[in-house]
Amino acid sequence: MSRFLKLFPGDKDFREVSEREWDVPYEPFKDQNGLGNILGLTADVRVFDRPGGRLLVARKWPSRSFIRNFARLMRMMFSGANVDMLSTAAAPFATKMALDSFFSGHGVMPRRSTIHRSGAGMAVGDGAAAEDHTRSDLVSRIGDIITANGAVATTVDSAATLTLQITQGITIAQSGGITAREIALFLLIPYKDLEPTTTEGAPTLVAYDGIADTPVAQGGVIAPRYTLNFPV
Amino acid sequence: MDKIIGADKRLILPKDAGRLSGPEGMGVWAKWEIEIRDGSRLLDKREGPSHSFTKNFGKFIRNLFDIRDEVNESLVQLSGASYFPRIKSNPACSGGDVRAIAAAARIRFGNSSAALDSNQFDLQGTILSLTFGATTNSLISEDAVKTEFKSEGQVTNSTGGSFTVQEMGLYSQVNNEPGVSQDTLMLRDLTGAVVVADGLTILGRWTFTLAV
Repeated sequence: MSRFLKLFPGDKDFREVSEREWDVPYEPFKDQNGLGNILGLTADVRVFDRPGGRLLVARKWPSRSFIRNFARLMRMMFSGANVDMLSTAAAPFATKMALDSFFSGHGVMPRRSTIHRSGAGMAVGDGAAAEDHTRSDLVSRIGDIITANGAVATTVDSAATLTLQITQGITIAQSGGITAREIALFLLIPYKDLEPTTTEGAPTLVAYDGIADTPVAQGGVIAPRYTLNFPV
Repeated sequence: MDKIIGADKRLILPKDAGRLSGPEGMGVWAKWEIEIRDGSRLLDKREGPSHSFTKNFGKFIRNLFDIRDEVNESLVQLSGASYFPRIKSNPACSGGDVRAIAAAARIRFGNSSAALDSNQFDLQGTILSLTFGATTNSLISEDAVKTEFKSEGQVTNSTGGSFTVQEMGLYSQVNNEPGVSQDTLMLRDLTGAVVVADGLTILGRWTFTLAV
């Protein structure tokens, strides 16, 4: 039988809820300390016994949280001045967000017809450490970063809100399975002066969450998902 | 006692980690501030929680994450015209070596208290003065706990009479595919009625917080 666990804002412990209640989106987060929540970030993971198989457990919570790379993207959107991003190796690099491109005609991101490993990416790990806004990678990433650029969906588009979801199922091949303890969202974004048709996007961590120990057997699937909600 | 954080209460942050009061995680937080000035003299100041990304912001973000050829979210510039931003342009696109963001965002103030709507692409009332205010954008802090940064700009009332501000908007200057900058409303906030006498200056500021 599937288990549905949900953490409500302000609570310290997950509650076991019905599937229906689990599916209900969070209400927009309330103002805190004079600040309004203009982009709500929530996360969930689902574990299946095999690809396309039975859901074993689903866990959802308000995310913690965006990493400085996401803040740097925002800063460039408003300042128009370059701020280097940091790759998973913590190496700074410039993008085409706010610097002209060496290759004429290319935007910040290539389209899929020119490069496949770009856009959103997701990964899981089995490390544990205190939350750190300056993190550049998972503490202990398991396997590669899986592209998720085909799994970005606009789930709500109304006058009151826009909601985006990014998810990706990751099938576990490791003998004996894994115990996931962390999930992350990446943006695979090309360097400014590299030819997009010949290179991959640099893996750049933008959101990270530690999670309770989540066992996934060999052949099972773990599907982390981030939901970005833009309420007015 | 250490502070217990994390969705599963397993992750521990030392009590001396330096957290200031404020939100923990849950995305992006912001507040707006306005100041009325007569030269360098501050006459009035107020602030409130921001509520206010427009759909343009979300669609800009989606274009970064979703590189499918068939998905290219158009944005809406302040005249109401849609355009494709220079985010995932084809190599054959004209316009040369241009970046996605042409220059610093611009600010302006209006007199409408019309409710916020994520579809809005411009302020809803009469605009104070004819020109935008340039913004300066500053990093306040970036550390293991959070990033805080601000965007601020000002406009002087030169209408010849007093003007009641009710709203302010921040417009990113986004290049379209041919490389032409488009003023694109990213945030709109309601400020409540603030009277700006002729000759006075109004300064608007957004402060953004992303924290773990």
